[in-house]
Amino acid sequence: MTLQLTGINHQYPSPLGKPRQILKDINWDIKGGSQILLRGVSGSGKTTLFNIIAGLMQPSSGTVTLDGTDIYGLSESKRDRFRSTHIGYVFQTHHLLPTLSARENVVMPMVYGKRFPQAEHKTRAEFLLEQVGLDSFGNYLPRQLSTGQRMRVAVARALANQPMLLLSDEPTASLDEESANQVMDLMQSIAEKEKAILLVSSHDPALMTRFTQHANLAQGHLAVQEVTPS
Amino acid sequence: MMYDFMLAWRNIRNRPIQALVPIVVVALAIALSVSVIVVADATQEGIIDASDPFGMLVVGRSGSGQELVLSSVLLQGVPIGNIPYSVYEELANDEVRVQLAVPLAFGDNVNGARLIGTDRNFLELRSSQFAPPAFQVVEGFWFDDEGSFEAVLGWEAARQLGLTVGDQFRSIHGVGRGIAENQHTERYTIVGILGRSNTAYDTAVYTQLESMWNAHEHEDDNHDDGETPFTIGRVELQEVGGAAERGEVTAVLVLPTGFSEQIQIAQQFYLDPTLQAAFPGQELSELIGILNQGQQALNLIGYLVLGIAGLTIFLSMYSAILARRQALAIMRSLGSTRLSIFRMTIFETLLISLIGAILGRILGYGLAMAFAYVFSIQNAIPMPVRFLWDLEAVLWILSIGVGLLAGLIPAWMAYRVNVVDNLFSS
Repeated sequence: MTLQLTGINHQYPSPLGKPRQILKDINWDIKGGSQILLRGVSGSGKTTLFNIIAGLMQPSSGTVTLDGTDIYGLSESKRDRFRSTHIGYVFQTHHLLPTLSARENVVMPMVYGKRFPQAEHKTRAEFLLEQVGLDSFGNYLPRQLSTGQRMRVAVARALANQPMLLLSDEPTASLDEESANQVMDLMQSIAEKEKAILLVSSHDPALMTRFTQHANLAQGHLAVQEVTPS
Repeated sequence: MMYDFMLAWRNIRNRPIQALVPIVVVALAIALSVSVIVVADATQEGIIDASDPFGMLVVGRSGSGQELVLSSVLLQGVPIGNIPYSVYEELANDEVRVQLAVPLAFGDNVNGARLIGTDRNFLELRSSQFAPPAFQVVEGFWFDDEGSFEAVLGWEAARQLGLTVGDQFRSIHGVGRGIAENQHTERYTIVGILGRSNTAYDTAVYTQLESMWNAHEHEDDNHDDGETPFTIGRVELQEVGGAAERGEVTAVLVLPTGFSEQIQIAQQFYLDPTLQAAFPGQELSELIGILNQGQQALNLIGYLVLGIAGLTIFLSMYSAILARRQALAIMRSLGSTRLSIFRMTIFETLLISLIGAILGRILGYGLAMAFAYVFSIQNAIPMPVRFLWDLEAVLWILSIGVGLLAGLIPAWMAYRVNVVDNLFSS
């Protein structure tokens, strides 16, 4: 299982008339089980790259292939379902749906992904919440949880359909150090167990030592480097 | 699809106040339509039921046929005048053309209940040839036609007056309370009570024609000083039609032996300048026609309110979608399709509309029942409120139609929500 980015270019329209090129000819092959930290200053295009990989934003040019499927070759509805079953996305702000309980938030991708029988949804959601240490919080609404707990629910939700790719955009930005460590430990251990690709975008220096692969995005170009853990 | 429905329900529960307003407006619109249509139906049924036992023809003083029927069949309004008793005798003796003739003499009341002078033929009235008599004595007995100042109470009259067999009362001039507070001196003795007939006649009190005539004769004797019994101080109260004096009746209910005989009798009275024969069915149909025109006007108002309700749903959903764009983007990012989002929004407007429609029905039927109750108490015409199955299809289609129409634009907005733009907006 691999993730392949081929010739990715992306540009945004500019009020001055000339489009602003944010990603330039990115080619990247990522093997299953890889855990990579994507770095770059604010506005460098990390989130844009994640959205393109997640199938949420069609690049100006280039292809994204996950497990042999060209994501943007799929119709929109098929891409929606493919995203649900193959990609887990943890946003910077938890993005839990406020009207649904923690358990129901975790169930939602299972409903749309249809990977698991409906009868298993509740049990699996409870299992995932237990994995993130929130087994007794299933009935809580997001507003009744702390910021760290919400983020852990978001992680459980991202793992709902056993994705082969887990994207996490600035996961520690709104968390204290202890919560940040808990969330990172959780994502890394589960990704390792599931042999999923874990891509974390962050400019938090505290995360640098957690990853042996770093990808730096600067001026639209991507440079990948192996680092030795200190 | 069930999941979309569940989410729609959650959305409504999550914003109860914003959802309540359109629900209430839909409920009011449906309640208005339901109550108007149900009351109109109940009125129609009530009038038809109440006029059922009273034969095919009503003979009375010339004038408005509708007033004659209203006063003699539904006991509404003031009688238009009296006719000679001989008219009744002629009809009663016409065995070839007349199966049954019942004299009715109005002019007095007992604490608001009409006192009706009649005879034993009254007990022969029935809604159809093989139906049981519409009026049956359930307590005591029917008075002897040759007797004097005996009375039988209608079912409702007995209840309202609080009188029973053996009690006595004195009648008052006029067909209704307040026309003339002039009490006769004679005392009537109650000898029987009729069972319920579900007609306006349940509220009446019955006595011999002779007794009414005698009461009026004595009254005239008591006013030999030239003052009429209807003069209070210097003001003379005009009693339209006046009370039936000796040798007079107010109306005759006629059941002809056949259709051609009915036409013959009608033609006979048509040529008479002082008398008329009115067809209750025809007169009441015209009355119902007038009521239906009013109903149609109210129905139009109901549709207008329903349109406003649709607009209210639309505005409520429009603002909800604007406020919910990020949540919709999150759902899309989790795998929800555009169609699923569209469906959820439509379900939400449909739910609002349908909840309003159900509440509207409850409110509408409740209002109709309350109105029917008050109306039947005031006018002594029972109004049977029925559940109108025929109406259901129209109301459900209207409710669903309004919900769908009101939801289309918000659902389209939800369908087109830009995931990336809204996912990362604050």
